Amino acid sequence: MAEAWCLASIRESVLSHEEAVAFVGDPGCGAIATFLGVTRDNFEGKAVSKLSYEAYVPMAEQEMRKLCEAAKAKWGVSKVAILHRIGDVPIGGASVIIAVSAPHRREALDACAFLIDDLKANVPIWKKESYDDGGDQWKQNNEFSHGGPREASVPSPRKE
Amino acid sequence: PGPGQLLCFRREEMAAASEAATLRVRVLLFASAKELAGTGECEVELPEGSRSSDLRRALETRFLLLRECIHDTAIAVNQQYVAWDDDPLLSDRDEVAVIPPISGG
Repeated sequence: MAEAWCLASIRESVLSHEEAVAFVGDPGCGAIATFLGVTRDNFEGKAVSKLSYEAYVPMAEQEMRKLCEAAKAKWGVSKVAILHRIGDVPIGGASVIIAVSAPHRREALDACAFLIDDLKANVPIWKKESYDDGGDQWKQNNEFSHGGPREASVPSPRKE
Repeated sequence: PGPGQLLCFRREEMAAASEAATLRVRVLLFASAKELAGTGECEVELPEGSRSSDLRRALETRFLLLRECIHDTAIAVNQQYVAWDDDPLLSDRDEVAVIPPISGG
């Protein structure tokens, strides 16, 4: 059986950047690109106390694997790791970690950008933002298209 | 085959026909939809031949507050995204998820 080249996992505990990097390491690759999404302490002038994530776990992991397949097809990357946390994520905590290895940096960097952009458009995960003043709200990604997501094989246009 | 065997076959046909009259769909609700419905999971029984639009009406009837958000949702049938407009036929034991606008990452 071939060694796994894609790690797509929803986790309930603190994510490890080291784990993601170790997974994608490949002696034939000269580049590893990573992305961490971390909880910010503010939104539109309000102080944020935490983010809480919920996921449709089996479908989310399946959609994350589709993203890995799309990245491999488009950029010829070697290995991909996508870890997403659910539950409460405090300020500064990482909710998502993406790592991708490729022979050269251009493909690794571009694939990494695509993976987080398309994760935001396709993977059924939701976050609720809680504020210091006691309020909270479910967030919505602009990337998500009404009535269903765009195909993962088409790279998203860059958002400002 | 004698008359007795023919009668058995017809009885089985009639039993199968009445069993196929309804289908049961497992519905999963998430995030704001889950909060508005007050539950993350329910079973909905629908007539054979029902489509996602029929399920939507059934959900809006059962969970009045869901009407607030359901027009912004997508659905997934057996973990594949489907546009409400596609209005697919549903099958017995389908898993349908009500998916509010996502916000991963």
